[in-house]
Amino acid sequence: MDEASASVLERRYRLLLHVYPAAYRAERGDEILGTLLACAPAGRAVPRWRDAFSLVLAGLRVRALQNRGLSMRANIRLVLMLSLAIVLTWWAADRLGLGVRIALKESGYSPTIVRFLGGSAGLISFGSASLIAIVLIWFVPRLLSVPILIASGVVTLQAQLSAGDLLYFAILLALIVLTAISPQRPPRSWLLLTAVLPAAEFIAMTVRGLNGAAGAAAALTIVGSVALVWIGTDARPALAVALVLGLPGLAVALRESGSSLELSAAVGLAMVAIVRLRFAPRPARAAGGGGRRDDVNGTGG
Amino acid sequence: MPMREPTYFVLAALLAGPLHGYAIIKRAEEMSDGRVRLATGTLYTALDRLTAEGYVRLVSEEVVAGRVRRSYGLTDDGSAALREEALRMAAAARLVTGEGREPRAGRIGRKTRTA
Repeated sequence: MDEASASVLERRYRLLLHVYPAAYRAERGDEILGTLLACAPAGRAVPRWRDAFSLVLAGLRVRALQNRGLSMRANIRLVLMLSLAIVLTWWAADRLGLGVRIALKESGYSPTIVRFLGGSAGLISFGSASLIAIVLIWFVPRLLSVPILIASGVVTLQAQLSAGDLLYFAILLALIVLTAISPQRPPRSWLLLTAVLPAAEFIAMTVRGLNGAAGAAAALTIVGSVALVWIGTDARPALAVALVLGLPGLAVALRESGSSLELSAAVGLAMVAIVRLRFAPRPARAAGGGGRRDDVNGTGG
Repeated sequence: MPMREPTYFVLAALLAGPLHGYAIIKRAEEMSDGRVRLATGTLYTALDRLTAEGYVRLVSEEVVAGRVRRSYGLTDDGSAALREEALRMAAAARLVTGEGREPRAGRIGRKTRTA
């Protein structure tokens, strides 16, 4: 019984340790786990709330300090890779979702089902087509992934050739080049962000039944909030989102000589991110951790 | 800048010699009469930072029950910083309690009467 609860607890603590980056976990995970288990009361199977909370804070802090070892150039490459990956994913999800919607409409289903199936097919599509390319960039060795990406680019180019497709291809190409020249891979947690934009739009448009413009605005709000929270640990993903939102926003603003919601959101995000980068937590200062006491009192004991 | 309380007690726990993570938590709790109960995440955040600052260093590594257990010890810089902080807090405490000042005749007299 005690053995069993100990192993359950160990498994749960191991799961929690994933808040730390993989490299850190490989080096220190076992040691931290040993301490966690030693601290746990006998027979306990659920991590204590304060242990879980402190682990999350500690893990986020380690993640926030990760980019300190990289040069500015390397960080900019990572930001660009992420922003291109986001655009690619969004685009692929959008297009395939639209394709399925049109196909369903022609086959004569009711509009609600068409909208729902179209949106979910969009989600499935970025799990298959574009995500494969993106996952390659994240996980597969460069020597393998670059030729595969080039091949997939060629296939894309041959399949359809409109102006939009050319841009799609250019983005894929830029991603290939960046992958080829960058010794660093973006952190795996960033993959989440490539999924957030299509997912947010899917939720906004399909579940709430919004039309295009309102859906985009709702998606923007969701993505902006996620990116803002992300700034708390790492400013680079937020900068990437600012780029993704900002450049089309800038184009719209220039063309229509007015401001756009996207542009304002992007500028805001970028400013917060830059401030965050400028005042990145330093090893000498503990980040986070509410309720700490700095006060000087003479009680002692 | 004043030291944070967890930091102070992590360093203080190492005064008597190197300890591993769990022992540091226990020692800090003992030293503070149960008031300072470091959460594991907080401890390792503090240890990482103190190691980077050169106040604490890795002393030994052993494998206990299939897991690495590392012991940490104070460096000379760490001892000095801890001592400086203790003196600063003692000075701040004296402002309020008035005790431990330069001995004065009246005060000593009263103390000897109560003792």
